[in-house]
Amino acid sequence: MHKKQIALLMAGLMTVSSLTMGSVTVMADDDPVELYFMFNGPEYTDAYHDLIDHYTEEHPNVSIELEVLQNDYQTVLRSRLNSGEVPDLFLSSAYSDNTLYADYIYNLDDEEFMKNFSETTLTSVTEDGHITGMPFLVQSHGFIYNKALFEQAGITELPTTLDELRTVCEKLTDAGIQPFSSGFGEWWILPQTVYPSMSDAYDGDYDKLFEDVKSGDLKFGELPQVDFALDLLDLIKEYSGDKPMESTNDLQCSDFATGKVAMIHNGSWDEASIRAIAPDIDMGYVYMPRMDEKAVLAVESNLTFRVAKDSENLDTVLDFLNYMCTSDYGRSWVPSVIGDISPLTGADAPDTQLAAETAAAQDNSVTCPWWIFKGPEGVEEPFGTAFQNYVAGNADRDETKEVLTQLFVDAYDAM
Amino acid sequence: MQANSQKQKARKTALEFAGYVAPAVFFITLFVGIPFVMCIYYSFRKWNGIGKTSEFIGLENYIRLFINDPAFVSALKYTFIYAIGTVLIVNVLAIFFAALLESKIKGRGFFRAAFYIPNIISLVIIGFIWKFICTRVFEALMSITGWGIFGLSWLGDSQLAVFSTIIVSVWQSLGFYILIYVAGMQGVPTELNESADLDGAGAVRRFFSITIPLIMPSISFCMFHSVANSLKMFELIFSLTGGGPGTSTTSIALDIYNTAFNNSRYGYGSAKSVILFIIVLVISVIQVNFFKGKEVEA
Repeated sequence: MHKKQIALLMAGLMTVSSLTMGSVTVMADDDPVELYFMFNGPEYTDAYHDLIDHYTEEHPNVSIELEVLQNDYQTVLRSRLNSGEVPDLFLSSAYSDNTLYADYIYNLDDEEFMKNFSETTLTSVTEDGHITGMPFLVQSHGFIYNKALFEQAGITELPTTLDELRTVCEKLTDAGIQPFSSGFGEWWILPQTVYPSMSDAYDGDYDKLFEDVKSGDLKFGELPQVDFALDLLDLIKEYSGDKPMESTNDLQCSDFATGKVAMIHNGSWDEASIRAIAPDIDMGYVYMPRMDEKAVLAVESNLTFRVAKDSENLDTVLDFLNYMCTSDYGRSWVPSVIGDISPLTGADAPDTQLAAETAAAQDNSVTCPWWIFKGPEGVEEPFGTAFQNYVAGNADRDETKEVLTQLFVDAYDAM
Repeated sequence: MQANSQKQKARKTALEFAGYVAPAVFFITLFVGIPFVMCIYYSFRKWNGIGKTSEFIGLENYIRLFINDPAFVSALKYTFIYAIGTVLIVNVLAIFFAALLESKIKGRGFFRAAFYIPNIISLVIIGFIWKFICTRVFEALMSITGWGIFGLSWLGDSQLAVFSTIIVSVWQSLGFYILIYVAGMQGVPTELNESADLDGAGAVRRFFSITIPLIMPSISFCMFHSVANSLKMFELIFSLTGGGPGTSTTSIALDIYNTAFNNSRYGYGSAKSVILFIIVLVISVIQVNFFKGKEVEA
């Protein structure tokens, strides 16, 4: 054959083969079931696999493909949903995500296993009377502090107000200990740092608060709590060493674990990372100060399992969730394998330090919900960036307040 | 009769060419063409990026973009500073190093490879490596040497962070442009330089009067490539600074990403990309015309 003809033939083949590549489907028997899960939280990867292995051992006909992502989880999930490659089971936040993913979610209203959750636990996933997902685990965040370093600086009582927090920082500095690693380098840490301290806004009636923001009766930036939050950030920045804007979550964990700093603002999910560096470190929570002088810990079951309503193997997915709620292993999975508090009624308590402190805070009712998620979807990033611009010195107090007001207006506009 | 067979031959050649480009046309249409058309479609709609329905809102996205979006304006400002910085520095340095590597210095094979290596590493990895260097390594160097330069907050200070993104980009892409310029310089006929030498022209004079005009095609390609690339920069900034501190290093591409995926405003993000496309297009056309006019034949 002529060379040219061969080349043309190959070019033709390339075009044709790329057209047909996607259409090859594997025909399977009825019996074996293949599921596809997509989760975030790579710190739980081993735990996820452990759960899946236990389940598939009991159900040998089921095989589960699991994909775990972190930073770009939302982006990848969205592109999967749009391309029709919907995971049979996936994770998302609660509250505003209930409506965001509504077109894809199977409601769990009639599932027997959902009775293992109390009604209060289910508020974060309930939308218009429907249960839109299954709560995964209870997480908490506040100032994680190093008990040994506090003792070394002669601090006997934990601070509950902004002034007391300042005194603690001064004592730590005098003892040659850097009080904070700020976490300001990552936008998601800033909303987490400020909203517990703003949780006394509207006396905790967040539905009314966001109603007023939506109708324009309240300019978000004019909440007195915003000023308080900015004061708190100023304090953290002042006591976070020379480079407060470079501190990211991984640096926070390593700075804290190596005893370089006494406090970080972050959550129960960091305990495993910290213990990986310093297994025996003695840590606890300092509650977040508020204007009303009632310090709180932010506690919520926010991560939520979502079942795809168009899943071809819906029954198997529901059986998997049932396994998590009713089997012995499934019920002990969150407390003993992950080491966090399980939202299931009557589940064991975990033996991790921060989870124990969370349980104590819940018992004493000194907690606040992750109320910012009750607002419009898509505000978290601009909200964080607005505060980040403030601490970086890109915007002053008044400009920051204006941006905060505007971003809520824009977010409601976009809905 | 003859005219007919000529026509037939021409048709055959055309078909043949079409056959050769078919795979490329297919893939470009699939991965660039169709998404681009869809992007224009969504730029006139209100869509959260997930829901199965979207709403036609006419030019509303574009109007908002021009009258009421300080984030986009600040991204625009940063992107231009970044583009001007990288394009100037990378091209001047690349021509300088290409000239050095073309002269008979020792170990030029080694240097050519050394300069090119950063170019084959993924931009995301480069971002993470430099983030580590700027935070942990500089901190260690500071405690050893005590030099103030390591004590600066290279990624945490709003002005310095802009500078850092430019420096890392230049470091990363320098090798590629050196390669193009070296290839261009190898095409400069030696007899021109020799006769200029005989006429008494010094090295500097020869460089500016012979080399530069003759490598104009390389310069115009490198300018086009670096301008278009820096206006669209995303990965490096995403992993190095994440657009921060605050929004100090948020490029247009990063702002589009945030709008579409973090703020759930896919339609509005699409409108921003259409505007970015027009900006890149206009600047590229002006610039290619400008440099094409300066090209000379040896």
